[in-house]
Amino acid sequence: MRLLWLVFQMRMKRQLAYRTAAYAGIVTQVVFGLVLVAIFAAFYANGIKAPMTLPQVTTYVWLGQAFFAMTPYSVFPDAELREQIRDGSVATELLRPVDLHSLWMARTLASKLAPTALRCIPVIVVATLFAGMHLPPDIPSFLAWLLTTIGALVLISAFIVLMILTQFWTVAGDGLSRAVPGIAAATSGQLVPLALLPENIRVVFEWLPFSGMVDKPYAFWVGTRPVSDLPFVLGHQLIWTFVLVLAGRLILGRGLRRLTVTGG
Amino acid sequence: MKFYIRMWWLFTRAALRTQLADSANAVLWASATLLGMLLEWATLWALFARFGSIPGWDFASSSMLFGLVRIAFGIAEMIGRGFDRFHHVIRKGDFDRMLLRPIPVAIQLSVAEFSRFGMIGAGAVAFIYGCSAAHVVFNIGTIAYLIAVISGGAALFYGLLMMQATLCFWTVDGIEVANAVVYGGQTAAQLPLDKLSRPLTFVFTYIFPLAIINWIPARALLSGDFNALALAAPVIGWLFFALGALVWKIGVRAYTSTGS
Repeated sequence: MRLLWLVFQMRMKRQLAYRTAAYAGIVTQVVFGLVLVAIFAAFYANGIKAPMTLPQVTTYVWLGQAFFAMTPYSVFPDAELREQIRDGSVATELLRPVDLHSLWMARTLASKLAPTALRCIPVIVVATLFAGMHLPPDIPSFLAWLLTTIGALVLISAFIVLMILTQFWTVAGDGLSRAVPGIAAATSGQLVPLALLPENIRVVFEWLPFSGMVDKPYAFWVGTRPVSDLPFVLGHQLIWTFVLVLAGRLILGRGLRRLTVTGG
Repeated sequence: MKFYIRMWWLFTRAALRTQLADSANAVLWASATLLGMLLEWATLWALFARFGSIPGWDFASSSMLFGLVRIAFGIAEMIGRGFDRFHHVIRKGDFDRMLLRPIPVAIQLSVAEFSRFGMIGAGAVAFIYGCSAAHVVFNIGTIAYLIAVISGGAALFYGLLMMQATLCFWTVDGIEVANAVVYGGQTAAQLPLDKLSRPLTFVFTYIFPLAIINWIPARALLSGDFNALALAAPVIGWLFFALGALVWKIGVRAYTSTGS
């Protein structure tokens, strides 16, 4: 456990070194947010009643931008590991006397948390001051958001490690792990808040793991989900994390058994 | 020129063969991208279903915009992935090796990647649906125009990819600025230009003229009114490509290796 904590810290340090990337990311997120807000504003100009008000949707969009680095949609989690599996140096990882799945979990957690920590506060500040973002309605909602965001971080990491592990089967290495994020984005609420989708689709998406990564935590901040839903949301995240970790461990076990390291 | 084309074809054939050798991966990627894109398109539908159409713009015409921009970006990415991941090349020092080969680096980087078919396919589905739902009339003239528009759009994105890659000569990392216009732009392009705020309209008209190569042609196809701006749109895309190529050339010339 202490070892994993160290791995986590090292990764954090390394990620925090990429400051320029973070500044550039903030610019990207602000532009993206402005575009999305403009789209929703155009739709709301029709005056149709919707389950969310425009200020709520605006806040939701900005949360999505502030925490974009955390979502499974944001590019590729661990390019280094992909290269390692491809060029065979993953064999050195196998020599380490640590449980591989936990090691990669720790690394992924850090490589998701660090860029998010660098970006979220500036985006929230800018969006709150200039672009119509609102703070949570009350302190309990904020705490519910905070707790479920931590839950989301763990869930996302479990998902990403699983994606990385699929590369044991597809040597070129990107297949699933590059494409599934698109599906995750649509079903998680990253593109459109789930509350705005047709009821029968929304119900299905609510059950999928991805809503626990984006929509569910955001809904607490925005105030569209009562704090009393907290146990249900945390349970949803926990169960899916458990399932994804289990699947990951299974794949890892089988992958290692049939892995032939190429190279001399 | 003939030599270059032959070289490009050799590179591409080799690349396609490696990609097809792992065909499970290629097919998985292409079909999962297709599914992801169609889901994204579906969320657009959900918005129109809930809110009704925006004055002067409905789901059909919005699908045209959505499709057009994805087809163009998909084509640009298919042959421009090398530029898109150029920071890896720079960081690992592979660029020096590329410079040693007696073929322009731009050709070495333009190797085609099969897996982008998913995005192009999804774009085509959305675009064709949009055209038929909006009753766009097709004849030889409009089809020729459409091909020109798609080539112009791809050229525009390709130019941007080259500029983004050029940045790497100086920053090594941090190329995400370009993502703002690439991905933000694709999302923005789903909406008629006049619905965006003034600064955004300015960016997507004058700085990165995505609206000109997307919204204006779509409007021309819908209305049948091919005015001067609509006809000039593909040319503007190609001009942006020329600008990108120029910037790239300057970058390559200014490049100094860090290796020993």
